Amino acid sequence: MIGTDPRQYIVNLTAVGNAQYIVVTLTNVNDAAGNHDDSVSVPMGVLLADVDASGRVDSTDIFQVRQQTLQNANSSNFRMDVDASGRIDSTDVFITQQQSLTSLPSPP
Amino acid sequence: MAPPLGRLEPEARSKTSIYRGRLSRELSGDTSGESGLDVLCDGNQYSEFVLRIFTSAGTFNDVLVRWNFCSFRPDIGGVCGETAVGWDFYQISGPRPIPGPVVLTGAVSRKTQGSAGTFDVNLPTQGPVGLSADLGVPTATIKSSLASQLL
Repeated sequence: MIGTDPRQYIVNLTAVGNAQYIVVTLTNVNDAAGNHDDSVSVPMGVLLADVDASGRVDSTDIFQVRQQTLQNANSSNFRMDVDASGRIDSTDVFITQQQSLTSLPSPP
Repeated sequence: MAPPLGRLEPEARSKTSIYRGRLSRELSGDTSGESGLDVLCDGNQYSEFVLRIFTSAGTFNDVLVRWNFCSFRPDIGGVCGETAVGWDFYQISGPRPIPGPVVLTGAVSRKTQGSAGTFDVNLPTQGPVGLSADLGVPTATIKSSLASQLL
C-alpha cells in the first residue's frame, strides 16, 4: 500500500519464517517523473535474536541483550527487545540463548 | 490550435528539427512515398501522431505532427502511383529529462515494540542484505521510499 507519503510503499508481513532471506518486490513501477522499472526489490535477512546483525546468534548477542536487561526499548536498544514486548528482560535473554548458534544461510 | 511552429511541404526537400527546445527548419529531406504505404491517403493510417525526440543532452521533446496536405495518384496500368504528404509540427512539450529507472532512496523494516513504540531497522538498497532480529514474531512492515511519487 502507498504510505502517507506518496513516494513510499508499505508492505505488511505476517508469519515470517526464521533464518531466511526474504525479498519484497514491486513490479511494473512507474513514478511521477516518468521513470519506470519492471521491478524494484528490497531483500532482507531474518534471524531471530541476531541483535548485532552479524548473521549468526552467538555469545555476543547474548551479552548485548544482557547488557540492556530491565530497560524499556528505545531507539538505541530496540533490537535487543527480541520478543517485541517493549521491554528488555529475562525473556529476551532466554530467547537469545535458545537461538544461540543459529545462523542465516549464504546471502542470495 | 495555434499555428504550427514548422511546416514540411510535400516534396519540398526540407526538414524540420528541434534545436534547444525550439523547432527550426534546416537541411533537407524527402516527404514523398509510394501509394498504399503512406500515412494518410489510403484512409487507414494516422493523420497525426506524437513524435518523441531524444537529445544528446539527456532530454526529450514531444512534438505533435499533423498532415497539412496530401496528393494521391493510384497505380494505373502497372505504373506505380505516388503519394505526397506535407506535415505541420507543433511543439507540445519543452525539454524534459529522459526517463530512467525508478530510484529507490531507502527502505526500513518497521516493528512495533509493545508500548515502547515503533522502531525502524534501515535496510540497504544496495550491497549487503540488511538483517532484522525480531521478525520471528508475527507481524512486521517493510517500508520503501522512492525518489518520486508512485503512480
